[in-house]
Amino acid sequence: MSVTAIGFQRIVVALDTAPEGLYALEAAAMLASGLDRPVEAVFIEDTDLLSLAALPFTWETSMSGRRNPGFEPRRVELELRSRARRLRQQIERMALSRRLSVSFRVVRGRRTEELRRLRQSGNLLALGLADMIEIDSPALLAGPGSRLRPGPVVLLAGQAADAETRALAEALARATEQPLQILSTSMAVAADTQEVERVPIVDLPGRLQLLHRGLLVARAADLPMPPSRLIRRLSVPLVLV
Amino acid sequence: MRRPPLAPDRLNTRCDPQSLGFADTRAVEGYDGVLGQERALEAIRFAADIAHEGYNLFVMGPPGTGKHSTVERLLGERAAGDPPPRDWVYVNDFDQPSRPNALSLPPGRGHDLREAMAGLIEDLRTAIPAAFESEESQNRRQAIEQEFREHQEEAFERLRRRAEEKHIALVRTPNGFALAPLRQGKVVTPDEFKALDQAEQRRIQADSEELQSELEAILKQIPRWDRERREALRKVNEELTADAVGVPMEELRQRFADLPEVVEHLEAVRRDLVENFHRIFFAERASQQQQGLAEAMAPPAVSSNDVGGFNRYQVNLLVGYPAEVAGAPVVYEDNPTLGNLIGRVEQIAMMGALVTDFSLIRAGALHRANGGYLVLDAEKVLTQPFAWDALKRALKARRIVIENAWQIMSMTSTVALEPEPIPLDLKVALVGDPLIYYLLSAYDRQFPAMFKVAADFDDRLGRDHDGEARFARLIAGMIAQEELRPFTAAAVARVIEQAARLADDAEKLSLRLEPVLDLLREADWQARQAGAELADAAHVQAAIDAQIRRADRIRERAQEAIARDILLIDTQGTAIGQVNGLSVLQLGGFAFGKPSRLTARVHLGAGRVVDIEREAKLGGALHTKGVLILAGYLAGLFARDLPLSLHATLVFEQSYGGVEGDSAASAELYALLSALAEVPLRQDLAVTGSVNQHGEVQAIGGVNEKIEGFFDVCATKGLTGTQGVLIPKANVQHLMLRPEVVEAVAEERFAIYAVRSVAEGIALLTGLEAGERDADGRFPPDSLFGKVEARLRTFARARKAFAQEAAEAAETERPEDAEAPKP
Repeated sequence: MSVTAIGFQRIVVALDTAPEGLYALEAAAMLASGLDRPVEAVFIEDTDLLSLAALPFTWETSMSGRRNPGFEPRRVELELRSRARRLRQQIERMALSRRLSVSFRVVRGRRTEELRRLRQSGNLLALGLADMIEIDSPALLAGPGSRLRPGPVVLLAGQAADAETRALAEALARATEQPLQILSTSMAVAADTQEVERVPIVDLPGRLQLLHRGLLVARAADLPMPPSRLIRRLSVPLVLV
Repeated sequence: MRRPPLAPDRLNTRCDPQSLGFADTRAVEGYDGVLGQERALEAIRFAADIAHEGYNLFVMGPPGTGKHSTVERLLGERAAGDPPPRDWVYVNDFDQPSRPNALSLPPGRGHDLREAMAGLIEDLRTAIPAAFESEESQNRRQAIEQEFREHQEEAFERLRRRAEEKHIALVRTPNGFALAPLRQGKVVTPDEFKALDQAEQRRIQADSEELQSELEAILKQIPRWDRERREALRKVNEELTADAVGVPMEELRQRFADLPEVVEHLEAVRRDLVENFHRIFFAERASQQQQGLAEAMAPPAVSSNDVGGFNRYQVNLLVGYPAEVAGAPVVYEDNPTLGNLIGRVEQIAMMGALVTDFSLIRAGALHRANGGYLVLDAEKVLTQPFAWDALKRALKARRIVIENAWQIMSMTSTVALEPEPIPLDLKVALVGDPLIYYLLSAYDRQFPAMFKVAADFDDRLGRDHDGEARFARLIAGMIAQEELRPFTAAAVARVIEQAARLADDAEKLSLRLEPVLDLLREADWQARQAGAELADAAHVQAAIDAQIRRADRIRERAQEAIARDILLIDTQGTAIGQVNGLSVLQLGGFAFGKPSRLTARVHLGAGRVVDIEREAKLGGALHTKGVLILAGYLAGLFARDLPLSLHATLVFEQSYGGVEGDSAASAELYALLSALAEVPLRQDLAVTGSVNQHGEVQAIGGVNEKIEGFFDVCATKGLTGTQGVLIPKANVQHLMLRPEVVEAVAEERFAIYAVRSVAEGIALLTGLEAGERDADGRFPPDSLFGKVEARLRTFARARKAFAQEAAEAAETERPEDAEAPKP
C-alpha cells in the first residue's frame, strides 16, 4: 500500500529492546508536530526473544562484553515490561512538552510479524535501525546518527520522476514550512525542473552523507545502497516511499 | 590693703575696627592658607613627603578646627605632583577559579583590556558557534562519527555473517545482545531444540559458544574505539577553536605586547578556550536556549566560582583611571566598614544558594587610594568591627587581602573566593580626637610604629595685631566662599571679639571655625532681615543674642527660680558661714553661669573638714581634692602648735545634681573662715577661684560665664551698686564680658575684683584685714585670722578639758583595781 501525500493518518513508531527505536520516536514526534498528526507508539514483546531465553545454552552479553547471568524467560519478560513502562513515561512526557496526541500500547508476538501488521495499517511506520528485516515499504527510518533538525525537505528524484514521491515531498515541505530541495542523478529530471541539483551517481552516497538538517524523501529503488545500510550513514531521518 | 575693682577696659579686650585697615570685606583678600596651624601643617607635609614605612599620619585636634579639610587639601596639593596610580583588574585563574589573579596596568589600560576582552567575547560568541556549525566542521565531525560507527558495524557485520553461516542470528536483548539459533529463518524454540539430535544440539551449542566469545571480544573493544573517537573529535574541536580564535587573540596580543602579565593571561585564555571549548560552547548554548536569544544577548549571570560560558574570560576592572590622569589619588572614606575599606566579594542568590566568582570582586578604599593617600575618621574606623585590625594588617603586610568577617574569624568552612592580594603603597591619615591618639599610643602596641607622625591642630591663635589681621582675612575668605553679603570692619571686629570669647581668653582667638562660620551666616541672615546691604556689628550682635536666646531656656528657668526665691541666693546683706559660689553649666553647645549658696558649719571635733557633697556621693574627685586642699591650708595656717579640734561641714545648698571641679574651693574656704571667726561675709559679692595649700587663689575656667551669671541675678533683683564678683588674678587675661556688664562696671553699678590670695579675698568679703603673725607668732586679735585662731584655741582647750574629764571619769569608775588584795 502506498502512502499518499500526507495521506497517512498517523505515524506509528515500532519500539522494542533496541535503543535505535528512540531515534525513530524522536523523528516521528517532530514530524508529527509539524504535520499535526497523532503518534502511536507500539512496543513489541518479541516472543522470539522469550524463546531464546528459554534455551539452555544462550547468554545475554551486556554492552561492556560481560555475560549477564539470569537470561531466562521470566527475567526477560520482566525486563521487557520494565522497558515498556519507562518508554510509556518518556512518551507521556514528550507528548506533554510538544503537545502531541500520543498513544502507547504493547503487543506480544514475533517481531517480524508484528512489524508486517503495522506496515499494513495504512499509517507511516517509523522504525529505528532494523536488524533483521529488509525495509521494502513506506517508513520513516532514523539511524543512530540521524536527528530531525529544522531544515529543508530533500527529495531524491531517481531515474524516473515519481509524481507521488514528489507530491509527498512537497506536502512535507509545506507542512513543516521548510524549502524543498531536489537531488537527482537523472539528466532528464534535471532538464525538466530548474531547481533540481544534479548529482552524479558515484557522488550520491557522499552527497547524502552531507545532509545534516531536514529530512530525506526517497524511493528505495533510488537509493545508492540498501536502506538498512544507508540509514547508518545518514545524519537525517529518511522517509522511504 | 584692699584691691580696687578692675577697670572697665580690663573686662573686654575690644577689637578696633580702624586697626583692621579696611571699610568692609570687599576690600580684603581672603586668607588662602590654614590659619594658626603651622605645627600641624609642617607635620602633614613631612608625613606626606617622607618615603619610609610607618610614617602614616594621625591628625588630631578639637572639632571644628578644619582637620579634615586641611589634610585633604594639603595631601591633594602634594598628590598632584606624585606619579599617577595604576589600574588593577581581576581575571579568572582557569586552574584555580577560587583564586582570581590580579593584574596591574598603566592608567587607562585596564579599561582598554576590559573592553578588548568584552569585544573578544562577543566575537567568540559568534565566531566559534559559526566555526562549529560550519559545513567543514560538521563534515569533519560526522566523518569521525561515521568512521566509528562503520568500525563498529563492520565488526558486528562480520560477526553477523559468520553467525548466518552457522544459522545463528545476533539479536538485541533488553540489556545487550544474544545469539539465537535459527531454523528456516525463525528462532528455534526450546521444544524444537529438544527435538534435534544430540550431535546437532552439540554443534549449535559449540557454534553459539564460539560466536559468543567473538561477540564479547567485539563489545570489549567498543570503549577503546569510543575513546579514540572522542580523542579525534577533541583534536578537531581544538583545531577549529584555534582557527577561530587565532586572529582575534593575536590582535589582542599585539595590542598588549608591552604588558607581559597581560600577554601571559591572554595565552592562558587561548589555552583554556582550546581545551574547554566544548564545555563553554554548550554552556553558552544552554544559556541561550533557557533565556531566549534576546536575553542571551545581555551578559549572562554568573553561576559559580568556575564561571560558565564565555564570561570566564571577562575582565573585572577593580580600579581604573583615565589614561590622562595626573597625580596620585586622595581618597576620603566616610564609612570605613571592613568591606568598604579592604574591598569585598559580592554574592548572588541562585536557586537557594549564594554563588560568587571573580567578576563580583569589588574595590575598597585601600584599592582606590593605592599609590596615594587615604583619609579616615579615626573614631569611625575604630568602631567598625574588624576594620582597624584589617587596616593595620594591610599596612604592615603592604598588601590588600580581601576577606570577609567570617574568613577573618575562621568561621567558614565553605570554599570561598581568595583573590590574589594586591601590593599596597599608600599613606594613611587618621583624623580624630587627641584622646583617641593618646589611647592608641598607650594601649595599641602596633600603633606607634605605624603612625609615627602626629599633626596636632591647635584650637586657638595668638591675638595680637598680626593675628587679628590674619583672622580678619580668614573671615573675609569665609564670607566670599559662603557668598554672604560683605561685612563692615565693625562687624568683622565684633566677630573677632566673639572668637576671643569662644577661646575663653582675651588674648587668643578660637580656631574652632565652625561656630565662627555659623555666626557669619547668621549675621548675614540678620542683615538680610533688616534689608541691609552690608552686615554690620549690630547684625553680628543680634546673631549672638539670637543664639543665646535659642539656647537660653534652662538658664532663664534657673534665673527665675532664684528671682522667686525658690533657689535661695542673697545679693545683699551679710551672713556668717555663707557665701555665693559660682558654677558653669554646659548644655550642648551653650554654657552659662549660676550662683550657688555655699555654707559652712563648725563645732568641736577631731579636726575633720567634711565635704557633704562627697559624703552624699554627689562630689567628684576634683571637688574632693579642692576641699582637702583647703583643709590642708587651714591646718597649715592654724594648727602649728595646737591640735585642730574642729568639725566642719561644707555644702552647696540646694544642689542635687552633683558637683565637680575645684573652682569653688576659695569660696568654701571663705565660708569656713567666716564660720570659725563668726564674722559675716558680704552676700553682694560672689566668689570663684581654686586655692592651693598656701592660700594662693588659682585660675579657673568659664570665668566670663560665672561673672555674667551673678550679674544677671543681681540685675534681675536690682543692681545696688555694691555688687560684684571676686575672681582669681590669673583669670583677668581671660575676660571677654558682655557689653552690658562692662557698661555696668563703667557706671560703678557692678564690680569685678581680682584677688591673688585668700587674705585679699577675705578682706573684701568681711571688711576685716586677714592679719599677719607678729613676732610671737600670733595674729592680731581683731584680724580675721586672729578671730579664727582664737576660736580654734577655744575648741582645742575644750577638747582637752573633755579629754581630761573623760580620763578622770574612767579612773574613778575602776575602784577594785586600786584595792585588790596582795597575794
